[in-house]
Amino acid sequence: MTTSARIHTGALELWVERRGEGPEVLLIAGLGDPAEAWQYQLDGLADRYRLTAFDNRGVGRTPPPDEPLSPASMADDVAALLHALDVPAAHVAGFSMGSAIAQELALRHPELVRSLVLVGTYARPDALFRAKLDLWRWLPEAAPSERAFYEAFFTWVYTPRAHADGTVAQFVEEALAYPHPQSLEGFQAQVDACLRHDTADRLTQIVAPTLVLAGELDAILPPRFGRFVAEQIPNARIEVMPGEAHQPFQEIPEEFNARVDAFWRDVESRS
Amino acid sequence: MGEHVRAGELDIWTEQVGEGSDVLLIGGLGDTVESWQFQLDGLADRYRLTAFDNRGAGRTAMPESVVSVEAMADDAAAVLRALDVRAAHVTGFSGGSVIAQELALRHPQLVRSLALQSTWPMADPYLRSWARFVRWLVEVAPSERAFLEGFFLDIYTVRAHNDGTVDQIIEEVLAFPHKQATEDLQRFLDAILDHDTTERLPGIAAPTLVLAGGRDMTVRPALCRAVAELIPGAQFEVLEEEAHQPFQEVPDEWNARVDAFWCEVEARG
Repeated sequence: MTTSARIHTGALELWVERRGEGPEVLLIAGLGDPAEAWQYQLDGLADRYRLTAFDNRGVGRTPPPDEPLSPASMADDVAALLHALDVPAAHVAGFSMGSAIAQELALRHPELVRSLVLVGTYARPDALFRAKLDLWRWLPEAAPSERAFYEAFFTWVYTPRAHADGTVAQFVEEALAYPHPQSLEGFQAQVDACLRHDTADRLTQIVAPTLVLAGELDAILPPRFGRFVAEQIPNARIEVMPGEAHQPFQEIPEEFNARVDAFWRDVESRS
Repeated sequence: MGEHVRAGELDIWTEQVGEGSDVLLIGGLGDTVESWQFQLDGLADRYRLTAFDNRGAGRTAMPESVVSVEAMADDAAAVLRALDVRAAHVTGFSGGSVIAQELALRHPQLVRSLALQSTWPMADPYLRSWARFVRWLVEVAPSERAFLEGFFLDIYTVRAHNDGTVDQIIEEVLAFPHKQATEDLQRFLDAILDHDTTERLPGIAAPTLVLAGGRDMTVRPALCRAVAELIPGAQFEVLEEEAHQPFQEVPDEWNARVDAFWCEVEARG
């Protein structure tokens, strides 16, 4: 099954991509990322799962927000989306900003979350992450070109290896060719949502089985952020992926897919 | 107190402190004498330390001629000659480490030993992308503060960002009266990025210590190790918890390390 559609969830219209057959998996993308950020998962896991990816508010084909965004309000969007799709519960995987939304989803709508995978995650920003987010607020507008912005932004996102082997150059071309570029307002609203995230005192209330994945070389959210999240969530497990940065699901998709598949199988066998 | 020293075609702002064996300190992008304050303060009881403002930084003017690493290595040699220093333990950091490599290649008789912090033989694509970012950031940033905040993101440790050290360094830089022109910063960066010593590093005969910061996101340990592997007999060490500028973040530890290296070199004669 493959569908792409605008889904009405009452007040909101979200752009959704669905692939595959099997247990429900919901993928929540990071800052600036549309549904296509999960292409390797949509392609690689559709033989075993029904995967749903979507454009968050303010990105891709989902209209920009009229009000300020927060991980909590975006989690409510996700809950409305699952209701509209008649999905009673899903394995939820969130990356970076998407992992903040996934945490809020598990706190606000626990019945919808069968399990949680949190990639490049954090409980609240520290001074350094704040400084990066503050820079990113104005960088896209100030950069001499869109290409210059992506080249700079991707130094924080991808490994030196991916820079050396041409992968990043290819991602830059893909980003430039993408037909639904994000508005500056949408990007800034998402940056603000990242800044607003704070679940440090509430993570202990999460009951879903949780796997935290951190990239050893992640320059944005290094493993210590993920370790804290895993320490707070009861029975959560953390794995540090050696040599990886912020987006292992794109740099080493087969290894990433195998890891989350094993986790989801384990959760399914326990229930 | 520093002074202008006539060195070749340039008047180079130079400061010399302390008594003992000669040490020459070569700074990186935009660095001036003040970048080495912890070394000038902490090692002057055992060494005579010479630091200077690179051409186009601080109180040393940028000449009209071509900016190249070779020219800047010749600047460093001219400073030593002007001060009647026959040979020195040479320490270079980042861009200054590339100049120090070139100094050791072009003027080997001036270099008693070489300590290279956060160094590389040739910039890899990642380092190039980051440097290109800095190159345009300086031009488009809405304020000097905004530029420094962006520039410093990846060169100081998380620890320094979270404990207020980076804020303090930003205030110090903002208060520094001798501002570098955007164009001069870019010319320095271009010269450093164009440079490649890969083929020639095996020709360095000076005893060499290469230091890397384990948390340096820009000049990562792998790049530093490549330099150590190319220079015959070079020692290589990773300061695991440090980033690009450990001589500023953990100066006591850093000073002790280079002091031990210089003592070892002197003991060997």
